[in-house]
Amino acid sequence: MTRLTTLQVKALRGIVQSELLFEGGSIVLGGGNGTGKTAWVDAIEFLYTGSISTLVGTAGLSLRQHGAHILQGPQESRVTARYQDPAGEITRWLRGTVDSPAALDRHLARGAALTFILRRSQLQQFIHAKPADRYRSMADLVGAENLERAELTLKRARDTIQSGVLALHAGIEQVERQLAALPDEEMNGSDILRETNEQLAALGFSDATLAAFDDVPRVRTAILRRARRHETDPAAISRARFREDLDRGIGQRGLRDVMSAYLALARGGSQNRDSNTLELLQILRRGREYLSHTRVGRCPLCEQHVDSQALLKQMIERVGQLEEVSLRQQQLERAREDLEAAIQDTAARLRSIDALQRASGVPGSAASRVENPLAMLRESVRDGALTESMDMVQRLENGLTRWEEWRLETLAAVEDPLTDTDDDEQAQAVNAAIAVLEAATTHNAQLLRAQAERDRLIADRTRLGDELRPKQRALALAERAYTTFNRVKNDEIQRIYDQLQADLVRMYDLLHPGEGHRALSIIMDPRKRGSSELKMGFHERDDEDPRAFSSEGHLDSLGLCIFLAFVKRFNGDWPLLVLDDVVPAVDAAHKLRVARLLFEEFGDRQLFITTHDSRWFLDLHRVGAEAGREDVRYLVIQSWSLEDGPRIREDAVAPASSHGS
Amino acid sequence: MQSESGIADLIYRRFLEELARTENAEDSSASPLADAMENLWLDGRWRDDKALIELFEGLSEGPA
Repeated sequence: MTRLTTLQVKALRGIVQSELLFEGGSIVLGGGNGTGKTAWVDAIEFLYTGSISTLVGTAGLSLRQHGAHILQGPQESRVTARYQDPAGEITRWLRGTVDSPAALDRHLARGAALTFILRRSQLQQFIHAKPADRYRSMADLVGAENLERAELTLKRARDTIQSGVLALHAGIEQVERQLAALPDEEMNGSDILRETNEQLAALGFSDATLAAFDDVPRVRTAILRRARRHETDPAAISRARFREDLDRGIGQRGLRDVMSAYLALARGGSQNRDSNTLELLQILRRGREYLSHTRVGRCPLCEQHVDSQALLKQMIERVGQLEEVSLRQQQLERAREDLEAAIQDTAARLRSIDALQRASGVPGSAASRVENPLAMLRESVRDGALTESMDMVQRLENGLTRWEEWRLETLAAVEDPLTDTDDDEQAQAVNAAIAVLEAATTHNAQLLRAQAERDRLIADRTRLGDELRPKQRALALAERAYTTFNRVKNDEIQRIYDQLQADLVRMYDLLHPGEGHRALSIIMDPRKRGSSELKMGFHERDDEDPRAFSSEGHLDSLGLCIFLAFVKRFNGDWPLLVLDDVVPAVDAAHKLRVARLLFEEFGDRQLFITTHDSRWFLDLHRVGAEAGREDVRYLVIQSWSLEDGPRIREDAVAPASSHGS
Repeated sequence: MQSESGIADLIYRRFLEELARTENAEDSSASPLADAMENLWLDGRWRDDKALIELFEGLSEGPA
């Protein structure tokens, strides 16, 4: 087994240049506070790890700034160790290099990996730590940091995958909500078409049928065409004009009035028009004028004596009579002309109505009822024989009466496509039909949009589901790996604790015989990733936290026992065990037991023990001597100065027999 | 600091055995998860979250 023979330190911490000769054995180093004892512990730690734990992890402290001696540069700072079996020398420089022969490489690596140094500052950390921190300390002691990192990595991987799964679940739930918010999909395009056609039929557009939504423009045009048919349909136009003319009539009332006026004049005796009356009247008017101016006594033709006054009087009477006759004749002539015009107008209206009737498709013809009497009347009027043919008048009157009756019947029977009422109904129907078409188009567009949205969401759901399934399988694997790891690790750590427990209990019993403690144990909390509880029975109380009933000295010794149990269990044949002032709070009797424990349990190792307690120093010296340990050197630091560092001398005091039990 | 006995290695081995045992309970012909986890441990990528995630997702690809 490789053993340390010499430890040389230059320009490190409080040491300027000095060495300790182990010679393959142990050293107990005594000295007061501030004499540089811990600098030697720092040197050993630096040698194996390249670090000094007391300078790591505290703000403002660093190996680079505070590792070297305060009066010397870090370039000179180094630790050199010489060994036997195999012989060799390792030097580690503060500047970062390590000189080590291949034969000592494994030794150096083991020293870097193992825990064999216990400082006072660490002693109660384990005791007073929270369970999780205590577990980490334990894991560090047993070299399970990698397990912790592995477990943490597994947990992070699982959590990451789980987050992905949860995100996908949330995405699917959101898609489901969006799908649920879409319009009811029970209705489809065919349903809308069927419903629309039913509505169109109900509105009177049964011939306007949608087979597809592409038909909407065509059907719409057809409906609108029907609505405006009267504007373009000749039959409708004819019917409208027919009704209009029929309503206006054939001037029958005016014809009757004019005919009555004519008959009245004609029956007054003036129906015989005398063309000589006007000539005679003109002659008489000239004669009257002549007589009025000349007052002649003889007739210019027969030369007979005439009474010009009486003759003028007779002529005036006669002119008066003739003027009256002429006036009646003129009135009759105008009445006749009016009658002829009325007959002509009525005949023209009859022909127009007859033509419109035929054009509008209204069956029958009423013109014949009036046409013949009218023609005969017209002839009679022309001939001046109307007063002599009253039968003709009566026939016309009968014809007009029949025509009037027919007109009223026809107006009632023939629908006017242009009447307001009918047009409104038609317009309402058309508007309703157009609205139905627009609603159908809108509804279909909504359905199509909803369907497109539904298709998109379903595709999203499918895609998310496709992504989710392998993620869920990955999560199951990650969960299985993590939980298996956690369970196995906790079980195995607990198994290690159980193995330690025997040594722990034995060592603690050695230090504290008959002091009321029992059932000391370290327990892994299986519910947690890493958590270790310390339990101890005390008199009648079971499973108590040791801090509940233990003094500071007891807790120090408990921490020391745990450390020593770990060293015994895990450090194998590693030679070094370094204890830096670890029992200051322990009383003298217990310190003596600690000294015995160390030499009895770890006598085969190279111990390096520092203490400021001169009594415990002597105890160690005496116990070592009693144990026959001749390989142990007992050194005392006499003084320390900045320029020279610690001054060490051999303790020459011959130990008396140790005291206490 | 690691113990000389390689506690981490021992426990990880125990974990792989247990993982393979649970896998074998489902399919006695293979333990792909345990094999993949062992490779990851041996090549040092067990510290890498992404490598682990790729491992789990790689084993989960394909039809269920």
